[in-house]
Amino acid sequence: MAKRSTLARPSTARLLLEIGTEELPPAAVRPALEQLQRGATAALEEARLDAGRVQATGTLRRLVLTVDGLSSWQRDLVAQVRGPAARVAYDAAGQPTQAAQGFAKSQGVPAESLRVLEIEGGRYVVAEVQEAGRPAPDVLGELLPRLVAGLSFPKTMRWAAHGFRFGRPIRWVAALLDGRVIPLEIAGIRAGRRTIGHRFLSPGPATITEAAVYEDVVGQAHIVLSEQERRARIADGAAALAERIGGRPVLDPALLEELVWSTEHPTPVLGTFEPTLVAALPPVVVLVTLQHHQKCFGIVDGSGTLMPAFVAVRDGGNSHLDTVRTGHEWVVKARLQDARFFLEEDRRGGFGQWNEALARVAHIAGLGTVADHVTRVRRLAGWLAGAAGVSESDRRTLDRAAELCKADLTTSLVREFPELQGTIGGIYAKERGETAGVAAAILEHYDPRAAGADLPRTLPGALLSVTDRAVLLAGAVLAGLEPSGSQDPHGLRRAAAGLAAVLREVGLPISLRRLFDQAVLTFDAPDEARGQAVETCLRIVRARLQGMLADDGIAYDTINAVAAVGADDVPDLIARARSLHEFRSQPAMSLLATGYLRVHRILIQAGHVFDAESAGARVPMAFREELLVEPAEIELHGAWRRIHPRLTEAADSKHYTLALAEIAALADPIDAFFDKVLVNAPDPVLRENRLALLERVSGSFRRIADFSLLVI
Amino acid sequence: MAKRTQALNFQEMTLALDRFWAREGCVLEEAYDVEVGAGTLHPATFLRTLGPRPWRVAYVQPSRRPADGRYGENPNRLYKHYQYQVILKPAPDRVQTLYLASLERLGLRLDHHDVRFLEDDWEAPTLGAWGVGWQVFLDGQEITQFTYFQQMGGLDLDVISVELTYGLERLAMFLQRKASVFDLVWAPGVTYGSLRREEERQHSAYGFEHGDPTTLRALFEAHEADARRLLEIPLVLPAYDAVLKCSHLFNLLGSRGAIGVAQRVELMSRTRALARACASAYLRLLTAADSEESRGG
Repeated sequence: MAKRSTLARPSTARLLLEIGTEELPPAAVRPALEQLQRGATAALEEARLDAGRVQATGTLRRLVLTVDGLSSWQRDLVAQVRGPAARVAYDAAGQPTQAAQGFAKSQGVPAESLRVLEIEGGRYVVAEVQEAGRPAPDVLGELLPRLVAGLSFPKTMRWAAHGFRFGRPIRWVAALLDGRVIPLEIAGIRAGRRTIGHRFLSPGPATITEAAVYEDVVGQAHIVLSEQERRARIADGAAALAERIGGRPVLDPALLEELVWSTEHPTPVLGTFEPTLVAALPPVVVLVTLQHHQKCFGIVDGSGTLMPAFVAVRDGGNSHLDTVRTGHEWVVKARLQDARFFLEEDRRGGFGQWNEALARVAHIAGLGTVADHVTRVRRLAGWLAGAAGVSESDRRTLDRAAELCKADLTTSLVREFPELQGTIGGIYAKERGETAGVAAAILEHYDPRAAGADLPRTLPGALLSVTDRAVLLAGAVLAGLEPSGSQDPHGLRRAAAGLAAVLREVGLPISLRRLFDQAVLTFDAPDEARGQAVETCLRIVRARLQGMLADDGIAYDTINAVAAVGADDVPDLIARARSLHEFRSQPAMSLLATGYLRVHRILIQAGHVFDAESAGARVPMAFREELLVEPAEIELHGAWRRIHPRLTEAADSKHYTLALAEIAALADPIDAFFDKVLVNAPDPVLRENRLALLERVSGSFRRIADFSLLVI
Repeated sequence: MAKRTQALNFQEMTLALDRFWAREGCVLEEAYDVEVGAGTLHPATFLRTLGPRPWRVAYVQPSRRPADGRYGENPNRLYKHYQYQVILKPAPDRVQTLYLASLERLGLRLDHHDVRFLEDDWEAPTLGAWGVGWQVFLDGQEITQFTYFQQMGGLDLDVISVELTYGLERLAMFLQRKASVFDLVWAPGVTYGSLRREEERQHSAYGFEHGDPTTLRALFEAHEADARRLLEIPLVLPAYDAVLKCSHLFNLLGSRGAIGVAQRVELMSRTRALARACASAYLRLLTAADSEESRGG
């Protein structure tokens, strides 16, 4: 095979690409950098450019790609391209036909050079195509703009006539291969060797003489390029400042992340405010004001009490920190006074008035007002309290909390701080003499607020959380708003996941079907629509449940197997899934599953219908022990009869690991049975009796799972 | 620490911004004389950002939001506030630098503060309008909404405009270090409160208590019908005025608590439909005028 030799020995170089932008959304930077890194690795590979380390770093104003050890030439391409079948490629005289010539032409090779090869059992003509490697800058000039254009952002924009779309406007591009500018253009901007420093500390342009010195150049221009370094400056700096006043910063992870990605040269600064403002406001309001609105960290003392101080993070240097401090202090004070004003406004109102105002607050489209929603939640909560068999005092707590749970939506504080819904309701409930249980349930009914977040701690809180979500799901599905594809504007999947998580955590043995049967009854709808809505709700919740189990490392076939015999009782489903998951590593498992599969198949052949929903309703086939004749069937029956009571007891008390241990005793007898016994005996009485025995055996397995769905 | 120079008073701020943006080629327009909830509703923004023609304008727009009124009792909340609005079409490459220079013109030393451009995408569903940009934070205080418009009246924009909306009261409170908006110095010896507090009190009372729902509703219907009739002719600009009336009446009905949830959604979608119709009609006129011009020229 002829390989074109390059004139010069391939050398390596360092690539630098810096995309200078206006401030990108902080949350979009890391994903963009990850795409850049992955995309560059793949694109270089595809372009036959050998590369060493490919790295993407950056800030909200620059996405930076560096590649070390990048080959300065593309590898040559030698490829065999398959053409038409040999029988149509040559005529009787062995001359290339039109088809062969057309193919050769399309590949840029002479028809005489085509060869015939056997590929996948057929004979085809093959063209050997060679493409000489090109210098890296030429290749990169095409590759890099494509790479950048392919970056995706949650939302893109246009900003100029060229129509290029990106997260924010691109304002400069630097592209260097060692000391040479790579000729390319991105978003109408020609790449150069110019970068821009920190917006306020080094606003002028700086020259990058060669790719190797990029980090030094931007470093001198006051850019802290490393994410870790920015994080350390913020977190360590905040801790050091807080320590000065004997406290420690509340480093909210989301805020820390936002600050890491919204600064190029973070410098923390300590500020204080009047202690009376802390005293006058619920601590959570102070913290949310500082964190969400002012992007500052709160500070707590040794006992965890909020102090009248904060750490702001300036994107800039150390000079004139005093004016930055007084500026932030002034704004924090104004914000806290504003919050106090809302608190005082709310103190003039009460739950009755707030609840009344809910009649003017729209719920999601088609579901009336939030007041309507509350009425439904209360009704369903009443049923749920009964179904869950809770104490009289819990029932009263649940009912009162259900009545008040959305009232805070119309308070001034929640209108100002929507993220405090529930929290404010809980605080006001306590202030107005509601019981601690009612206050807790109001607060907790929004839990979990995100995947993996805190779950309700009290039983009424958990029941209210389930109820609220069940009514939302039922209503939204009835209104035709069920999620599709990646579209879930009303957060129904999240609601379903939350519902499943609460049921799992609290271990409430509530039938999902009965829950949704009741939930749809709180809406005016034809019975048929209600019935369909229940099925849809169950489907959505089950999908979340399965996702939850999969997140726990439980294999999909295990999940399917346990769900197939009933997915209505969430804690039960989870207990079966966990036990089966562990049991699957046992040596008996393979024989057991194969054995069950044979039982299952023969019963299906005999017209048996396995259906989780109607399992209880079916009359079992008649079985008579005295009709057993073969030793192997007598043995199987004996084994089954021995384990049956213990298995039933274990399963009834949800000790599924024990139940599985009992079932394991059936593995050998089943195996022997199918070896020795002809189920489909000519005598219909014997045949029916053997099927009846197998039905009982299968019933034992199906207390736990449909083992036929396990992939062994 | 550098000695703090005397902060600009309220009218000096607008004068400074006027001078700055006039030098950048902006037409200094006056506020629109129909009640609006935001400077974006001014035809100089809503209509002029449509189509391909370059346009630069700056104006102060009193913006009325009846539900935000607090009878002049809350030091931070107003029924009516003043927005300083700048439109730059097409968006210049160095628009952020320009904007920062305008802050310096207000007496701010940028290196003495913490100025941040934090993601904030703007959307006005009733106008079928949205854009991408930031809220500009000054030491943690939002002082400007900075937006690259992408759609207006439901139409993808041919040319992208930048809208800068300065919150004048907030900026002034920061610069003058006043804890209450009513204590702001408007002109030497004249406070914001002396000019505006009574207006806040009376309009809050009107918006929350004394607006007559039947009248408001009838006015809404009348202006809506008028807008439709005018669009038929088409007289786009008077039609658009009628839509603005509808939009304000809708806000009044809302603050008065006079519309239920379903009605609210319905009235909003009716207003939106009209705003969109005005945008389309305006663009048709513009296209016709441009092709006339190119034929004539």
